[in-house]
Amino acid sequence: MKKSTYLLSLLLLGTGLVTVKAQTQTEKQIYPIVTVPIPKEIALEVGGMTFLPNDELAVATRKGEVWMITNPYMKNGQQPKYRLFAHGMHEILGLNYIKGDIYLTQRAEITRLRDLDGDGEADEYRTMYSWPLSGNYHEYAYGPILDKDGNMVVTLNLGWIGYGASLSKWHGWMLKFTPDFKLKPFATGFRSPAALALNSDGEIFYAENQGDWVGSGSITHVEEGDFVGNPAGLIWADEPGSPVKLHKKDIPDTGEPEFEVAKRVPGLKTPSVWIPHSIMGNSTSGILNYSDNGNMGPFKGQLFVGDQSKSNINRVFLEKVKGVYQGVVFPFRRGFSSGILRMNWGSDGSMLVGMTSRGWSSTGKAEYGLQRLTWSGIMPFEVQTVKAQPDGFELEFTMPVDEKTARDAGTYRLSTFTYKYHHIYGSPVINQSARSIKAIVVSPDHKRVRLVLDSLKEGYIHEIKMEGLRAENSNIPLLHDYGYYTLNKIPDGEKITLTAENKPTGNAQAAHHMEGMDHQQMGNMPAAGGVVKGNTDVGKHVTQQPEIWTKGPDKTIVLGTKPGLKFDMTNIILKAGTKVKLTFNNVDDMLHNFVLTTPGSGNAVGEMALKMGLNGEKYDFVPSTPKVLAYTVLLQPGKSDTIYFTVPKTPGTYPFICTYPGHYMVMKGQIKVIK
Amino acid sequence: MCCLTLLICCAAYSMAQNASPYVINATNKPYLLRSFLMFEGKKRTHVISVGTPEKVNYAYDLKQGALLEVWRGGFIDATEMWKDRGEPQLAKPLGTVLTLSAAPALAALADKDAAWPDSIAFDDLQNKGYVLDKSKMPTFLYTANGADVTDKIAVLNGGTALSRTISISNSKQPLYCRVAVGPSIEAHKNNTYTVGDKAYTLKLADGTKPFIRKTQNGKELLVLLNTTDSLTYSLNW
Repeated sequence: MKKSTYLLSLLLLGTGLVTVKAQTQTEKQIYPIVTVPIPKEIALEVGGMTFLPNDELAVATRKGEVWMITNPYMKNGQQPKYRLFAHGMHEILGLNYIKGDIYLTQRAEITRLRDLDGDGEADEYRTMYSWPLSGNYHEYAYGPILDKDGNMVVTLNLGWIGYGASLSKWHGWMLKFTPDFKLKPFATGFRSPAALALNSDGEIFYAENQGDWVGSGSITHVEEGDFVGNPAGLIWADEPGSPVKLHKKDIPDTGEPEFEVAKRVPGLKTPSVWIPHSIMGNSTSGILNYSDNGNMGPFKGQLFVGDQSKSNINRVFLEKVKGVYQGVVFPFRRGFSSGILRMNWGSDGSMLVGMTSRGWSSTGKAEYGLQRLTWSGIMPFEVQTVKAQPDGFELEFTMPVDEKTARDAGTYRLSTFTYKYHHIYGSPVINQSARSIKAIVVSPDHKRVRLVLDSLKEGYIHEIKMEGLRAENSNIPLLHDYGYYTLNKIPDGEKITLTAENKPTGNAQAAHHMEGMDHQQMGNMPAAGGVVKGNTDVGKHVTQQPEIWTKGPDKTIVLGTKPGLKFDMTNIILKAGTKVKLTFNNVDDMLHNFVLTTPGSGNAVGEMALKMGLNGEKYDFVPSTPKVLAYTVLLQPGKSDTIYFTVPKTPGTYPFICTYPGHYMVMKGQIKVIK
Repeated sequence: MCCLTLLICCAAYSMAQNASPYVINATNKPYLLRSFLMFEGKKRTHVISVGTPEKVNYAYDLKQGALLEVWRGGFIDATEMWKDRGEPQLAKPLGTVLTLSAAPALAALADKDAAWPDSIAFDDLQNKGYVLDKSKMPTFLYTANGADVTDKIAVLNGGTALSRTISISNSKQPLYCRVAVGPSIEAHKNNTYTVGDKAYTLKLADGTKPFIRKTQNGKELLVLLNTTDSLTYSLNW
């Protein structure tokens, strides 16, 4: 009885909180998503999108079609119309309207499509440039885009043979083509460069995906002769026309931070903005410059970056310090229906978002989709920009901030970290430490806040959290209260003198918050469940046969993976109490683990793993919970782990999942325990 | 064979019921598909397959100008391209294929006895794509050996045969076209030839003057083309 009273008061307290937060902004309210209907018979697995001058949306699919969609806006309540313009090309992953023509990349080439007889269907499929292929599925091609000098730009993916490899010429490269389609190799070091775009300065940025030599997703400014990190493409560095002078032997494989290696390897270009893996995104895949064509609120000149795996869009503010691009990434909008690959501005300023998830699972469950992101016109309370200062950061807001919370050290939490640079797939977060705030200066108009830190760490990612901050008057919290600034260079300039006046009020949050920071929050969603800690119970990961198993295991199981996030066995029947030796072989091209859970807990454990934030990888994405019964470590591609466990005595269905962020929803199976 | 029959059944069914999203058949107009294709044990990466409503289908290597194989019946099973990630990226013909050759159709030979090349280097043939005619059948375009080449492969007489017309222009030298290769080639009247124990029949346009030559492995049927010239033949099997 006492307990229920306690619960009741908790509920009342909860109600009270809801009332206080009545004005809290939501992504949904400010940025409504409208689904563009797709006829049932069309599998619109979007690989490329572009608008034509007549406002038709051209959409290229992974199955090689090009569809023309009229009225994707559904103006006047009319349904959009779909017309097949071209078909039969090989996995199109880029489509663009350039100088009066439709261009696309398929696996082997840049193609130009023309409708010569005006019947509404392409009848000329012109190969503008063709490159070799080894036949490996992972040799994708992206683009073309037009650079500021009138050249076309494409990027070519590395093949995958248990690691990234450049199996045929120019894979792992960014290539430029002159107007008469002469090839100019431009830069290398690319792994899976799924998107490329120009920013408002006309500079080229590309999106990279986590993998070997890539600790986390990122976007990077690319200039001629750059080497952007994965050494596989360097095998072509001596080819005629290559502007890259590095060789594979020049690249140390020490696991040091990439920016440290770059100090002694001239030509190695580090990311402009890291997009921390599993927190902000898992599969960086689309870049859209917020040009005058868009209408998404007060962020003109910034970049929107889509994510295939998390079905979300992040927002990147860039600045140039000492000639180098750097900046901050914030969450912008989540909750799209499938895996985001492409974004384009519609003529009404809305953002068309094209999606596919086949073979690469996404948070949005649909196999494919087309949605339109709109702005309601309501001003979001957001951090508009973050600019590096000689002694900290200046945050600029979209509306005035409440001075009291802005001046309070307890409002903020800052930390710094980076990733390992090595041949291994991905990286744990390393060298993580908390920063403290020495001074806070709020501008007279309350739209800017300058934070002076104990120290800045050049080369590091700076996490900036502002949970306690409120807007002036309305007292609402930020729509998104955390972001990650990649500090490639610390600017010169005047530092702020510490005074009694700018000394922060309140108490800084204690450093022990660093462990297991709750990065699960997207926007200001309620922090359901709070921090999820990593598992420390070694009894759930037994790698030596227990001594009491004198007769050995009763059952030996060898479990593998199948492409497309699958275990190769999904139904295993075992007797209660069976002593099991299980070997899990990861033969896929991504990181995976095996986690056995209590009955009905597969999804819950998967969700907990998502909430482990920066510390997830350190703990193999295995959360500390009694719902986990046994697990293998997080396995690199091509690696295996053998564990010993005893099947529970209680008959039932025990799910097993991969808890790597985003995988548990599809990568799962079950052990049926019988008497 | 049983498996193959089953696939063809599925194909017919899929046209009516759309049961398998991976089986492709040309219904009222040709379907062209770029893909990888296994040919003589090797994965070819720059291949296009053409399926027709007449159910006469072929596969063509764009980087060799080579008519690889022809088959009748269902067109393509694209399961290995379109299911999950599609790791093999292989299109599978839905029928018994008649294997022709992966070697380039055209070559500059030092003399009429010089050996036919197995392949042309990647950078020595610039594939230019294809244009479709009114019936949506393709003419392939490329340059090789300094010559501009068009290669039109169409269906004859409602599906009785395939017709191929290779035209060259601006060539710096005469080029040979290898029309057929096989263990045996027999000449018949009306410029007609049977290849390899009558596996298939070729009929060259009137006035074309081909010659048969012996090789280590069998025979070849060649035609010498001028610097601007064309050649038409039909293939029946």
